Amino acid sequence: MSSQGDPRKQDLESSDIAELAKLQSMVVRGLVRSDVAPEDIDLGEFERAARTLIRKRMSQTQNLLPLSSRELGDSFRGYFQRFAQANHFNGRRAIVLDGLYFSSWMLKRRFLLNASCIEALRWEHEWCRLFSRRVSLRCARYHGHHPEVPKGLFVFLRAGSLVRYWKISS
Amino acid sequence: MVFDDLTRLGVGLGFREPMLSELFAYRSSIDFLEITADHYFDALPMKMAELELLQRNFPLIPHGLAMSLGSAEGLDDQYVKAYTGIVQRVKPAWCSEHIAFTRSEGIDVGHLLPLPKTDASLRVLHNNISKLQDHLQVPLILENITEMFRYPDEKYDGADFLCKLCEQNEVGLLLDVTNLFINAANQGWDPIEHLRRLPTDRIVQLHFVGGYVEDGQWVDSHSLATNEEIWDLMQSVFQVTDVKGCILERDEHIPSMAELVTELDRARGLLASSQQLSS
Repeated sequence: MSSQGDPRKQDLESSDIAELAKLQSMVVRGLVRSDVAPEDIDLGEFERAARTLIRKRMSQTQNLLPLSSRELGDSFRGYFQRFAQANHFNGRRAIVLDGLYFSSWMLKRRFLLNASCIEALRWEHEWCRLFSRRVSLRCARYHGHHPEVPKGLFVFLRAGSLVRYWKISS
Repeated sequence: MVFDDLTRLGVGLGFREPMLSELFAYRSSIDFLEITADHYFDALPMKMAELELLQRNFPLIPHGLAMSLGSAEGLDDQYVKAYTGIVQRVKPAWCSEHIAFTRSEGIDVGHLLPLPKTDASLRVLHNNISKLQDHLQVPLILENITEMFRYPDEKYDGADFLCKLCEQNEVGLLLDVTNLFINAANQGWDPIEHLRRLPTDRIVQLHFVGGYVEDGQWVDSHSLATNEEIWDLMQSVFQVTDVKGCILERDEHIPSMAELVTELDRARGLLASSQQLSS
């Protein structure tokens, strides 16, 4: 593998790797930011890949916002696709940030939603906000939260990285 | 390194949190667990207690998701430190990652992306694998991914690329049978012919799960029971190599443990009959 002692070969190899870095950057930007696909990659395959990434984000966000997802029903998919095209994904903590930003994005469109849907989004947005801050998380661990809300009692329970909560109707 | 000498672990599950409650009731049917190393990075004490509980009851294999071994810009030192920390804690028979990249210029796509099958990719992989192996005390095995798109002007096909990778690095293979099947079906080549050209003595572990067809293309959803076509391919894999472990990987729509164990038993039966034939 090594090209030690041959400067010309080293130059060629480093230019190859620089080309690869450039290609990888174009692929990532093309997929995440819907920039132009790298030249010569089949556009159909590339667009399908971009859709797969959005579907994966959507599935992860549905797991993070179970009540909002239930309240939004079939319209969740359409809303999330519009959200995802305008909001890029980045990194390991991006799943919780997707939950946070999507719930916020939906709440800005509250005129489209009914009261129980707004309530679900508000509570799950609040949870994502806490979840995205490690300090708050550490304070919250192992504790059950019983906040009174206008339309019922919510019980939050945190175990590991999973969040469970139940709405108890009043 | 002789991969043939590695411990034979049997047939197990890719551990996901929703499985925890039923896991112990079916302990005798699960030979080992594959844990996602990333889930324990910088984790809260309760999550680490879960890892300790699993470690006390099952042999564990750590599987990384976002090492990005194919990144031309190199490895993320923090990620390497976190991953090797989990490997050191678990003391597994081997550990695993992917032949892919997930990151470029500070953007992490959260998904495994294919590498162009060229000498430049092989050099990048070699550099990154060597750097990672400097921190590992156990064998590293690498997984083939589903290729959502292909690059033009690739120098190698999939099998030749894996052969070169194994020639140039002391790594084993984690053959994802579902990914092999899906790539073959979507790209129109013969998975058996591909399999025959692989360095089968390097295949240490398998992954399997079901997929589905959408718009004429197979999708690797990790959400369905293993398809018959994939069982058939698995049987072919067992005929050409002596695998040390097989993992069923369900991430979405996780069914009851009873249903998962039925699949594990079927895989165990196939593995046992192929081992009897070869002995």
